[in-house]
This record gives sequence, structure tokens and C-alpha cells, in this order.
Amino acid sequence: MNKLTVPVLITLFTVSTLPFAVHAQTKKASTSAVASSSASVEDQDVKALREKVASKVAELRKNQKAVAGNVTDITTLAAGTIKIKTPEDIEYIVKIDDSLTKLFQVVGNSKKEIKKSAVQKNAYLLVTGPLIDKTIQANYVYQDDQYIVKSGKITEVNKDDYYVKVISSDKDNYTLDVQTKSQLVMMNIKTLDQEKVGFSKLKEGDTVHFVVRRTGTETEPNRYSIERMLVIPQEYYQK
Amino acid sequence: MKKETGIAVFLGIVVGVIVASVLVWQSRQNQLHQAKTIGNTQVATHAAAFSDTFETLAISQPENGAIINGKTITIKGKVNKGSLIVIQSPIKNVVLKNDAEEFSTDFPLAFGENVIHLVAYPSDPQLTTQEKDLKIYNLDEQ
Repeated sequence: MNKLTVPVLITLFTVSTLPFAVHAQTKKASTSAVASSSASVEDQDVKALREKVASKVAELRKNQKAVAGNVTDITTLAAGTIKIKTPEDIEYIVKIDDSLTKLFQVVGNSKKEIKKSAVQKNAYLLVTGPLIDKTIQANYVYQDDQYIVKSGKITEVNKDDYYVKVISSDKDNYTLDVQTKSQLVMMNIKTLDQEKVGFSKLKEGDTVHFVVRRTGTETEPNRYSIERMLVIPQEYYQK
Repeated sequence: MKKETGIAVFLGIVVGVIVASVLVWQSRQNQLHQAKTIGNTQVATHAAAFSDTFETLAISQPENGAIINGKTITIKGKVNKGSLIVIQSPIKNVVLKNDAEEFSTDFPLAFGENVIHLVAYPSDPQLTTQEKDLKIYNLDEQ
């Protein structure tokens, strides 16, 4: 009896626990499948979110614009808004966020970070950021020099005061002072090379391409010092 | 007048008014449709005339207002054959004569705003000089 009792009990125990083992195994497998499915859904969600973020970033980059103009209104600078007017007379509202916007001064071919308070009225600003209608949310603001690049014909050469009067192709009249730093070159009509010339070579009727820097402190409208000027002599057209 | 006659006259008037309204509405719709068609034709004709207008200078690259990060750009465009092209910015003057219609030249950039003024002087004196201005922003904010 004793000899039979142990094997019978073992057999009964084994047989009775088998369904539980099988059941437990199935349950484990099911949990794993659910977990796997849940992870897959999460992966898909993360992927979708990443794609959404990437698309939004691309959209923002696409909407990233640059506008440049002179500061016309600085009274609301403390509140984070200024107004600028482009040389084409378009006015923009620039929104400056103290925590996001970075301001720089352009110095030659580099930049130096400046404080918001350094921005003055009439300063020439280059602003980049998302542009909606006429409002730009500034990411970066650069205070830079304003250059005017035009072409026209010399209408007068004043040899006493070293200036020339020029009528531009858009019919604006300019008085351009020749300074010692002004770079004057004339196109050689045969070789097209640019040769350095002095003031005495400038003649009425010559076509000129000129660059001037607008400082905002000009005493006379449209009167500037020449930075560089390229002269195309009248003889070029008479060839 | 009998009651039935009165009703018949009333219904006749109502139906007449409805028919007249429908006819007026249809006539107006037809007029509008014709006007629209004529307008579109005019716009299309104008567009065709504009595209046929001869231009002695067209810039295909870069786009005006582009923000880039680099020391040079390539300017590409079309001019009349034999045109003298002058490209000027605050840091450089470039003069070139083009024997072909298309031109391409590398141009240096300063940091910040680059105002580039381009002028094409056609060799044919019958054609007018053409100008274009580009503003290219060379910034290292990316």
C-alpha cells in the first residue's frame, strides 16, 4: 500500500497540475503577444509623432524669411515689438521674444551679440524668422550697414567740390561725393578689364554703377560718399 | 364672378409670376456665364501677350531674398546674345560679355545682407537695357 501510494500521488499530482501548466503557458504567451502589440502601437505613435514634428520643422523652415529695413518705431521695444520700413516702403512689425530672439551687430564678416537696448531708431536691421502677413517673429536680428547699389548716367561733374551728379535708371537724382577711400574703376572697352581711375576721368554722359553706404546722418537727401563706382565710358556704345 | 373663376385667375397669376421669375433668372445666369467667358479670354490673351514680351535679362538662380550660408553663390540667367552684363554688390564688380543666351558666374558674398544689382546692356541698340536687383542673405544661423 505504502509502495503504491507514492507513485499514485505523484501521478495524480502531475496529471492534476498539467492543465494549470498549460493554462499558465498560454496565458504567458498571450500577455507577451499583447505586450508586443502594445509596443508596436507605441512605435507607430512615436513614428507618427516624429514625422509630424519633422514636417512641422520643414514647414517652419520653409516659412523662414528675411526682411530688412530701417527702424521707424522703437517706442514699444520694451514690450517686444518694433517697426521697420524697407527701402521699398513696406512696413513690418518685428516681434522680439527675450527668451528666443538673438540680436547681433554685423562687424565685417562676423557678428557680435548685442542687447535689445542697443537697437536705435533709424538703425538698419535684418530680421529672420517666420513671416505671417506683415509681422515677423524674429529668431535673429542683425544690425547692419545699409548699402544702396544703383546705376545711372553722370549729369554733372563738379571739379571744385569733387562730386558728381547722377540720374539713376529709376529717375532718382543722386549727388555722389568722391572721397580718397572711394574705389573708382573704369571698364576698358576692348578688354572689359576694370582699371583704376581718378576723379579727372569722370565725364558727363558716362554710365556709372555705384555703391553708397547710407548712414542715416546725411545732411542732404540722396547725397552720399561713394564706396565704389564702375564707369562704362560712352565710347563703349559708339563702337 | 364665381368662386371657381376667382381661384383659377389667382392660380394663373401665381403660375405666371413663377414662370416669369424662372425666365428672368435663367437669362441673368446666361449673361453672367458669357461675361465670365469673355473675362477669362481677355485674361488668357493678356497672359499670352505678357509671356511673349521680350526680356533681355532673366535670373533663374538664386531666388531673390534667399537665406544661405556660404561665401559665394552662382548667378544664372538668360540675356540676349552678345549682351554686356554688369553685376555689382558692395564688395565686388563683375563685368562679362555673353556670346550665348545663358550665363552663369560665381559671385562672392559678404556676411549679412548682399544687395546685388545686375544690368544687361544688349548689343542691339534697339533693345532696352534691363536691370534686376537681388537681395541675398548670407547668415550662419542654421
